[in-house]
Parts: sequence; C-alpha cells; structure tokens
Amino acid sequence: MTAENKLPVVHVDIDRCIECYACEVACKLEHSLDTGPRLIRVIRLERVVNGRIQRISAPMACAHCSDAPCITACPSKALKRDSRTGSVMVDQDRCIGCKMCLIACPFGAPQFGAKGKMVKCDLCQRRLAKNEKPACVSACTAEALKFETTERSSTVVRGIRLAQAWSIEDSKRG
Amino acid sequence: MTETAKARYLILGAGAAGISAAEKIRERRKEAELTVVSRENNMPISPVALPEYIEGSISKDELFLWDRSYVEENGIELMLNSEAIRIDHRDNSVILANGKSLSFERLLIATGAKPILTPDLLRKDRVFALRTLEDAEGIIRCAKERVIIYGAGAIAIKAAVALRRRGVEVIVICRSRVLRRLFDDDLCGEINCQLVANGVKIVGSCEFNSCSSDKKALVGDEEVSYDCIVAAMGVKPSFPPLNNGAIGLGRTGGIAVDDCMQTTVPGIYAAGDCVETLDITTGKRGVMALWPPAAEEGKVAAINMIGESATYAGTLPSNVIEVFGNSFVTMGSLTGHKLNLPGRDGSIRLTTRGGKIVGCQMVGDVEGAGAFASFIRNQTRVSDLKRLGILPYGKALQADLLLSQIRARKNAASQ
Repeated sequence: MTAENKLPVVHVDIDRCIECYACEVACKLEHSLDTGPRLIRVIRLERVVNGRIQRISAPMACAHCSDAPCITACPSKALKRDSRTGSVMVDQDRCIGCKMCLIACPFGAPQFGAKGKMVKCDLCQRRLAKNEKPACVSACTAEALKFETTERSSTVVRGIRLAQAWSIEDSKRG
Repeated sequence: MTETAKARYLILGAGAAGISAAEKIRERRKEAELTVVSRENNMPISPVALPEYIEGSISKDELFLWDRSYVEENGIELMLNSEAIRIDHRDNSVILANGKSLSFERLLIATGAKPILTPDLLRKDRVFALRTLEDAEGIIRCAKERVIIYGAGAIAIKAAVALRRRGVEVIVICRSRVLRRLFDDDLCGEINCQLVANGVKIVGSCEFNSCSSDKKALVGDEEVSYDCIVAAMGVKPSFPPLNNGAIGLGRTGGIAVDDCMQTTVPGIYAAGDCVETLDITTGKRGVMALWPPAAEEGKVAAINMIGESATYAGTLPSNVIEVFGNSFVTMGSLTGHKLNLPGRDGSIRLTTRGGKIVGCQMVGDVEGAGAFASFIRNQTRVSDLKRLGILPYGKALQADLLLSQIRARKNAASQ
C-alpha cells in the first residue's frame, strides 16, 4: 500500500461517545480557534424509535476522503493532498473564502473563521511531528476516538460506514 | 508547408476544465506528451478569484494556478497567446491561428465561454467583462469614481461588491432584478436591500441599449458619466469551428458530449463551459458556467482520454454569493413547492417536486450546504426527512447521517 491509500485517520466508535465535548474543547485549544469554527463537531441526534425518544451523538471531523470533492471544487488551489501524509490540507494564504468547498463537502468539514478563510481538521500535524496523537483523540475520555491506520475511504464508503454505525436495528443499542 | 509537432494529449484551453484535465493526465501518465493551448497571454488564473483581486484582498501572484516551475517540472508544453482556428478530425490535427499545426491522439476542447456583448457595447472603449486577468487589470486601471455594471447575475453582483469595497461608486443596470435566476423573489429583495444599504445603486427594468456618447451612458432617463463598464450579461460557449458540424452541438449551443465527456467524434473530448451537461435537478441539458463542475468534467474527460473509465453524473447548479459579509447559497432548481426550515442562524428554503428535494437556498448560516447538496444529488424525499423527525430540527448534518443510513439499508435489502 502506498501513502496514497493508507493514512491514519480519526475513527469514531459511536457507541462509546458520551457527549462530553472534550474533543471539541481540545481541538479549539490546540488550534487556538476563536468562537466560530469547529474542526470537530459533536453531532446530536434525536429520533423516535418504538415510541421512545432516543438520543445518540458522534464527533465528526474531516474524513480526508480519497476522492475528496473539496479539492476538485476549490477554484484557487488552496486545497491540496499532502504528498507525504496523504491528508487533505488547506493553504490559508491561497484561500479566497468563496465557500465552494462548503457545497462540495457532504460532512460539513469546511469551517470559516472571522477572516473568512477556510479552516479544517489538519489531523494535528504539529502533534504528529512530535509523535503525539491528535488533540481530540488524546482528550477523549470515553475512548470513542481512535487514531488508526486503515485503508482510506471514499466519501461514499465513509457515508455507508457511518450509516451502519447509526443503524436503528443495531442490537447493541437496543 | 505547416510545421507539425506530435503531441499525444492536446488540451485546448487553460481554464478549470483544461488544467484539471492536464493535472489528471500528468498524475496518471508521467511520460505522455502533453500540450495545453491557451488563448490568454498569462499563466492560467482562476477567474473566480478576480473579484477578490479587484477588491485588493489578494495579490496578483495569488491568482495564478500554475507557475513556470510547475509547468517545467511536469513537462507540460504550455502555448500561451495561441488560439485554435480549425480542428481536423480526419488526420487528428489542430491548426492554430499562427499557422502551426498540432497533431494529437486524444484531444480535449476546453475553450470555455465568452461574455455576451451587445453591439452597442462592442463599439465602445473601456468595456470589460470579468473573465480574464486583462479584464481585471483594465477595471482596476480605469475604475476611479464610477463604474456601471450591466447585468445582475452572480458575476455582476460579485463585481459590484468588490468595486464598492474599493470605494468606487457602482451602478448596476439590470433587465428585471438582481440574481433573478438564482434566488426566489423575496431573497433577491433581501440581497438587493443589502447592496443598496452598502451604497450600490441598482436600476431595474432597464435595457442595455443605452450608450449615447463615449463617456456617458443612459441610466433610466438620465445621462451618467462613467470610468468604465463591466459587462456581465452572461456568457456563451466558445470553441473553434467544429469541422462543418462533424463534432455535434447540443440544443442550447454547447458541444454535445456523452457521460464520458466524449464528443460525437471518438477520441475528441470536451469539458467545461463550452459543453452541455445534464442538470440533475431538471433533467435537461444545458451550458453551466461554473468552476467546480468544469473541474470535475475535466477530470472525467482526462481519465477517459488515458483509456481508463469514469463517468460524469451531471451537474448540480450551485453558487455562493457573499454580499458584504452575508452568505447566500443557492443549489438546484427554484421551481416547485417551497418548504422553509429554521436554520441555526439564518434560514433554509427547500424546493421540492413530487416529494423530492430538488433545490435549496440558504441565508446566513450556510454550514450544512454540502449535506443539502447531497440530498439533492440523491433525490431524497421530504417524507424521509419527516419520518425521521428531522424537519422540526432543521439540522442538515443530522439529516445527512440518517439519510446515508436509509440508503445503506435500501442497498442491503436489494442485494
């Protein structure tokens, strides 16, 4: 496998998430972000199953998709795949804030700060350089987030995986 | 005798489609001969960034998508200031305006579109479109006090905002109202209000036949002097003569292509603003002058040109307009039943037809735009959202997760 296909990414075990938002806080601190952008977002869901309201949650960050639609959509070449790590990186100096990536990304990963430039999960490159795990993974109290190398998935595959994880029929959640 | 240079892959045009195709070919075929022919006399730029350049928020260097070293390192023969005047599909060659003949094994026509100009405007000086670096530099050079913008589409409004931010007086002349094709009446009104509040003068229901002298233009009943005119009345596909119709055209005047972006002549492909593609929300074919679809089409064409296979699923027309700090997103169709959802910090309006989501307009909080784009692409039914209790919450991202679940279960059931 080349770097192109193998990339450690943040994996989510939805059954373990306790909605403590520690990952969001750790991410904000690590990237010194102001109030707007959230590079990892805990998504909450409410729905009625057999007449009962069920609540579940999951942290979501950039999937660093192998077929990243944001890279194609970017008209200023601000988005690139890092040839060394295979992750999708944004060059803020080149970003013109046109928000084309926002329409392209089905997961809401592109965020826009006060300066109007796109900012997104960079897998904590600074920490990786020091051989540390991304901030969200280190901060996760319930071990719902894991930093693992697997075959990188396309947006479609990732969508289906998420779907399987969320499945109502999932016996584990009853 | 014409000089003949053998090129395996020949790309006409260095816009979104042309450069994304060239990059894809180079990525997959390191050794292939690759020639890109550009009409413009500068390295390829991104026209989407031109309003930002006019506004002064980015420098000229940041406009360029390729530089000399990129072109040299990747062995791309880039011919600037060259225009193809004839395509000969029988002996696989293209004749350039300077008489040079280029042969090819696979050709991509990605010559883009040209601005529509009225005969009146063609006669005048200091009239610029906003598609090339030359246009932008002309506008920057001329615009000192007052600029008249003809047209009120996305480019016109982006130009108006950029020029206003430069401190120039801006008059927008439109036939009906601003962004008529992109948003519903009331949202157009809201955008109109914000433009007016920031000092843009908008003259509606006005024809474009209004140039009395060289320095003055007729705005309503009044003669107004101007520094320059920005012509943003739309674009039309532009391509070299297609060999007496050997390469077929579509009904709206763009080059006809199949799902692989191949024209009616095998081995000759076309992509970008010069082709007709399928609008997935209407099912009709048309010319889409948008960056992201053009880049995607270029990629698909490139993959097919090198003998691998890929198909283009069709275009979801979409645009983001920033009006003095407020974001407006539009995707897909405007005609159909309307459904308003509360947004977190703004509003979301869906267009539905036959129970399916076919369009979406967003104001303010546009974070979930991508999720709604995927709803439209996947022909999601509103009842799917309703059944899962999503509508009252209006959270696009939650909805997206649930929908992928529904799809996955459907797939599992059908297998």
